[in-house]
Parts: sequence; structure tokens; C-alpha cells
Amino acid sequence: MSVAQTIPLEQASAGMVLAADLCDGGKVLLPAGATLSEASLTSLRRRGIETLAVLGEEAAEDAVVVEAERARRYARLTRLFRASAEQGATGQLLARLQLYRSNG
Amino acid sequence: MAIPTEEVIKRIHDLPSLSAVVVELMQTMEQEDVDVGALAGKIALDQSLAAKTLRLANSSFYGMPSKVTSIQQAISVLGFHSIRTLVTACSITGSFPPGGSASFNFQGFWRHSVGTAICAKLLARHLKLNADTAFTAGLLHDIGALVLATRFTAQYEEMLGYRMQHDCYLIDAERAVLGLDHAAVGSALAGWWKFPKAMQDAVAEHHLETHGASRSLGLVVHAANILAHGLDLSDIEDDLVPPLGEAAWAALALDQAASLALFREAEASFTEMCQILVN
Repeated sequence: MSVAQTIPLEQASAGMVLAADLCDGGKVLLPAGATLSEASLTSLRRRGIETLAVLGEEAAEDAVVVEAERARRYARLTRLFRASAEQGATGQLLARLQLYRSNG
Repeated sequence: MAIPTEEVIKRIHDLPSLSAVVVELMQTMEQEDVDVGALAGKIALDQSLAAKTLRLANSSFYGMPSKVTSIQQAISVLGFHSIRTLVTACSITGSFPPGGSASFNFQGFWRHSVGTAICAKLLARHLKLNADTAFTAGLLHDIGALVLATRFTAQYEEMLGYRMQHDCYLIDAERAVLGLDHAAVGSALAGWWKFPKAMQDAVAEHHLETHGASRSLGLVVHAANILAHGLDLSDIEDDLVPPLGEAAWAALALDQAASLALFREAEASFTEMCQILVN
């Protein structure tokens, strides 16, 4: 759940992550997911870039929340299967669910 | 404190009977030639069933591009089968107003029932069995627990205490404290309410670990119950996954990709189905 927001270049700062490819004249200057640095910001200013799409802080927080929820659900499996995890078919189902929960 | 079987039968007979339309809808689930027009007319005449039907037809669950405003339209776009399944489900969930013994988790009960219904529908589809019957049987598989929790509140409370103390399966606690279990009670109610025979059997045998290798409604409901527990759909903290029959698991023959897809689909439709059926 990434929340992208478009901001003016002057509000951009080192450490922010690009939400989409940053293009100029059809050429990709920086790919989506790239982390901005002081050097890349200077370069963008020089090229006359005015706005860029970055991942909001909310998105970063969301990712933490989503990961915590995934980990909680994975851990729940041990509790739910506490009486039957060792049994053949039930154990196999548990393994499938663990695989499912480990992939978020 | 054990509950005599005759006492259970007596209480079951005291329960409000299902509407004749609902019984008729359920009995036609396994039939090939059904007078859809006549049944649709009967649904349309029932205010609450009609309202629920339109709500479902317009939910994102079915993703219809335009608003559905009549029962006829709902049937033509969603199919008579979906409508019949929903109408039956709503009538049955509505037959038990919230209540029961203090420790009974009414909301959790229905969440688990809806989760089992969805898993049963998906498993039936995987085995090429009737998905409507499977959904309904899944929804009702624990109906006996509802009878016990709402009609024998003191005994049920005692049983829940025993279960918590021993952290054992609910069915074992029921047998130890009440001298009977929710599968047997549910089956008796299913008989009284004239459910189709296959559905009565599925309710009676959902905890049976010795389901054979043949594809049957009983096998589907047995596996769906366990899957719903495993997916944590009831949201009950001390829930416990019952053992899955070896032959049942083998008969399902779910490979890795199919099972992951099934888990995903079950979770995706769960929240919406709960809002529709448990309110």
C-alpha cells in the first residue's frame, strides 16, 4: 500500500524514495524506488525538474504495520494448531498456511 | 451436567420453524428441474428476503456494473443459484437472535460459520461438486452449538469452563460435560427443519476423521471447517484447529498453487460475506 505524492522539487530532500520513474524528455533519470541523495537533487535542479513523485511517510509507516500484521498472523498459526500440528494431514495443511502467511 | 437427548429434541421442536419458502428453496438445491419463476415470485413477496437479495446483488462481491433494483433483475444477473443460497442463509442466520450463555461468542460463532461456508463453496468447486449446497451446509455445520448455547445456557457455560480449563477441543468438552455434542444436535435440527439428507449427514459428520476417499458433501464440510479454523476467520483468541482426516486431505488433492489461491480467495470474500450475513 504505497501512497505516492507529487511534490515540488524544493520540498524534496535526501532520503526520500521515488514512487515512479522520473523521466525527462522520454529518458529515465532515476527509476522508481530510487532513494534521493544530495547529489541527485543537485542534478535534478540543474536539469530544471520541477516536481517529482515520492512515497509518502504514511506509506513507509503502512509497510511497517503490514509487516507486523503478517508476522502476527504467522505466529497465530502455532497457537491455532497447538493440538494437531504433529499430525500428518493437519501438519501438511499447517505447512501450506505457513507458506501463505510468510508471503504476506 | 449432562443433557438428556429427549430434552434436546423437545427444545429443537420449540424453535421457530423456517419459512416454507426457505425450506422449499433448500430442497430444490439438488434438483435439476426447478420452477425458477414461481420461486422468484415467492422471494419477491417476502420483504426482508427481497431486501437482502438486492443488497447482495449490489455488493462489490459480485461487482455488477449497474444498480440491481428488482428480484427478477438480480436473478438474471447473478443467477438463481446465488440468490437461493443467500436467501436460505439469511433466513437461517436470522432464526437465532443474538444471545446465549455469557461466555458464548455469538459474533465469533457466525464469523466461523461464514468462513466455513466460503471455504466449503471453494472446495466444492475444486472437486466439481454442488457449490450452493456446500455453502449452505458449511454455514450450518455448527448450528447444534447455537441450539446448546441459547437453549441450555447454564450447561453450556459449564462446558465452556471445562474447555478453557483443559484447553481441549470443544467437541470433547461437550461430550465430557453434556454427554452429547453439537454435531449430533445440529443433525437433529437439520432433520426437523427438513434439510436435504446429504446436508443432514454433512452436519452430523463434520468432525469425523474417517471420511473416505470419495468426493462428498460431508468431506467438503469437514475440510472447510478445519480450513476456516486455520485461516483464523472466527477471530476467537483461543480457537483450536481440529484434526484433518488423512483420506479427506488426500481426496482433496490440493497442490501448492491451488491451496494458496484458495486461501487468498477465501480471505478476499470473507469480510463482505460477513457484512451481508451477520448483522
